[in-house]
Amino acid sequence: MPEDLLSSTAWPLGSRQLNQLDDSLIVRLMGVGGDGVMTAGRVLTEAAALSGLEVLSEATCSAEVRGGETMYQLRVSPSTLVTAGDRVDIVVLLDHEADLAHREDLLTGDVLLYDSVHDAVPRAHPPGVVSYPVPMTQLAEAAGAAIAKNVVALGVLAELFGFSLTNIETSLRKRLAAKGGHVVASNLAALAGGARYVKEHLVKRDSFLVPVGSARDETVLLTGNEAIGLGALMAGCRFYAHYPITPATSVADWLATHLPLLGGKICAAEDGMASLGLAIGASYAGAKAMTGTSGPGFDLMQELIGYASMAEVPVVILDVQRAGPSTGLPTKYEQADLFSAVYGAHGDVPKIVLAPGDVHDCVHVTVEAFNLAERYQLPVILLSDASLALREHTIPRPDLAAIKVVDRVPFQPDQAPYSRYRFTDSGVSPMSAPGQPGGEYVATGLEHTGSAFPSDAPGTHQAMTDKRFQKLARLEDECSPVEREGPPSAAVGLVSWGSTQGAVREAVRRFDAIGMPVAALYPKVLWPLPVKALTAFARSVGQVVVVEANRQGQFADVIAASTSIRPKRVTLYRGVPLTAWDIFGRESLTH
Amino acid sequence: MPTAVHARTTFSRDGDAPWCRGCGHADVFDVLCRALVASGIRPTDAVVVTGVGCSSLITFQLRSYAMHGVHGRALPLALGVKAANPDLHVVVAGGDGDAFSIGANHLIHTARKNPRLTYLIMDNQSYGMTMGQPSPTNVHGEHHALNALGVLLAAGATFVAQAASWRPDEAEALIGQALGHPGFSVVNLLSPCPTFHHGEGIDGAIGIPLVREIGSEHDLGDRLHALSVAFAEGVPCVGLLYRVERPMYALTEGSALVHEQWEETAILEALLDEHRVVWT
Repeated sequence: MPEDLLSSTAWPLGSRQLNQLDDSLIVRLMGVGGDGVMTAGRVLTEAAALSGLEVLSEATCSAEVRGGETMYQLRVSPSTLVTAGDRVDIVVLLDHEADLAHREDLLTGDVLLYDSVHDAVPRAHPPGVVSYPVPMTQLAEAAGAAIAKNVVALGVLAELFGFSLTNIETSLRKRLAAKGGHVVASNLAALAGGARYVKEHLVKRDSFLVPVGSARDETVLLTGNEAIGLGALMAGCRFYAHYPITPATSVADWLATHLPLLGGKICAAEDGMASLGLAIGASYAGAKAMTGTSGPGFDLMQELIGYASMAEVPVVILDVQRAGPSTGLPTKYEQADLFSAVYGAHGDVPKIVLAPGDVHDCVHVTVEAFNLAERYQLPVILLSDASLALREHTIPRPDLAAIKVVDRVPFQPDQAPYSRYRFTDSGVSPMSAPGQPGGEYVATGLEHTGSAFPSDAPGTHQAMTDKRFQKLARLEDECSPVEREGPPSAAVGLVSWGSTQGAVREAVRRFDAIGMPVAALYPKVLWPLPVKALTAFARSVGQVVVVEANRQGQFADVIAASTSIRPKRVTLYRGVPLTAWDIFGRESLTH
Repeated sequence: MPTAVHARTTFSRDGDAPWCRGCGHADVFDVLCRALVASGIRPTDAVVVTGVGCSSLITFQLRSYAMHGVHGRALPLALGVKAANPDLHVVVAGGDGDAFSIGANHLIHTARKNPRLTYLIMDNQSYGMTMGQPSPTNVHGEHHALNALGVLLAAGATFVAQAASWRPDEAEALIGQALGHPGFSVVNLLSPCPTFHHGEGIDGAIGIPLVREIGSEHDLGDRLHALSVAFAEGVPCVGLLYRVERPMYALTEGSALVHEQWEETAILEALLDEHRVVWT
């Protein structure tokens, strides 16, 4: 069996039916920009959450504000979810333009719901698919809200599959309240119109129903970007700087509303360099500070990342990764900024790279990012991605009392004469803030002595470089969150980072269901590499396979460069997240 | 060789300055220290933020807090400092390359925001540390010389002055006024580089360069007049060219709001409540 796992052609390819063996329901809403796909998806997500269901969604759009394909997929279940699913049960088409790429995902028995205003377009549905044409556009017009065909669709979904109309209404009212009573009224009429149409004109010919929810422990519903903002606030972040960039902007949007409540400030910078410069300046002055960006802005920040490392200023840099180099695929998914996070900035630059694996991590790993930046006085890079940014997930309400917040080692006025960069066993030197008498010093990116004076004397650079790296020497012992799952020993050990964790988790569940011994490791600290955890994991499995969404196998390379592990790679870079099927359904995990 | 010894004040350290003999930057540094002392600012409450280059070496001569940043990014760093703690006195300094070349974008947008920062541009028309290549303000360079005052006026700086390193009392007075200005105040300091540009620098003259005094007769709030003075042919002008008041950047105003721990917890719980799922 172990050998089979690695190279066999006897792979259970027929096991795709395993996909169907769960109690979740998956709905995919499709349209073009402006159709209201995102809004409808979020309303349906909230409505299902209010019914006591676990909900996990995945969303993607084109770069254009109007036009371009938009997709929102949500999965609802009475039990825990780790992905939004690699199958679809119900596809809702708000625009026929969005049809083509997704029809092939429909299998016998699946449902296709579409706006029959497009009936003039010849449609060839896959055989066995149950299709329900609904005149969504006309029903919206009849309700007095011509653009509300997305809300009509919600009414249809409620009536056909059992989503709670009351909860949809609650969510709609909340979102539309600011737009005035007539907008609320016409949208509620559109909702009722959709539901009524089903009762009067359709006969249910499929077998899908929303599972029954139940009261759960205290739960919050968050997008990944909201969760990062929340984690930052919990960690004590009081300054955030940004320049608009997809898919990071919604972190700033959320913080713009919430940071000031805590006395924090948010600054719109003129470019990515200014954005990090602002955060470093704020941190030098004593505030816990962060900047958020995506790949192109992250590139611009590299020089200042080196500065923060050299001047030993704590700062958190969020890179919500998107696909491709250069402008690439600005709204799409990839995990290809690891090299630039780990190896970017010239010179020997001590820094830490973290990656959250899900929305829950977006809260807690962000807290950890601040704690590490403050503890070690260096730049910490938080690598999120486009999938985490937009997805919504019902997660356990974070327990504030259980969240540990770390502050920088403060300067004590009796430490005179103050030597900002004095050598210590840990490499961490007390840090003063402007306004503190006796703490005056120059934060500089020039190589310097312990007293912050420039020096290029032989020995100084080596000693100071060692001092700065000394801070990381005990990192893995002091903090290196790593999750492992699967049997204690296994033929294959999957390693993933960032949001690929979800697909790997789901694949591991399926391997387990068919009796195949596959384990998995999910490091959250990527750099410095958690060598001990990786080495121990590698010893417990036959073959390490690193699964990631980039061409080069960047994390596999980082592992190979720093350990004796020689991982195999599963790499996919299509601009969409990996799915469990991409792993579970492979003929071999080593090709 | 460092020979210019600057006057001792509460802001400056003892010892030799790092500039060449005759460098204007040593004089600008002395003048800055004197103006800070005269303004009643304590080194503990002052942060001087620079880019890099000959001019930016002033940070290591100071007794105050300072950031010796990276080339071109002094203004964002300084704005971050001021936003995090508006009670601090934040002075930005650097060369003309920092201001008008690598950091020009920041200059324009900081001027638009109008934070309470004082920016001293030590303008020697060259990149001294890399052996005197012409900078954007160089009148003998290959390309059209940028009019420093014109750019500052166009970008929206609310205090624009020009001074000369060889006229220290006037420079000190202008810096003092800049430090008291409620908004983004900029003093462009003509500061010749004797090592690379002697005899061809500020006005092509050998010896003490000529300047013309702006005087105090004109309406300081008349931007079109200020532009006409800035763009007038002939030797450079010195004096206060333009001064208006405009709402300051809100982020850099007021004292930092600090909550008690229990208040922070209550606020965070309220934020979580916004995202709470209440089953129905």
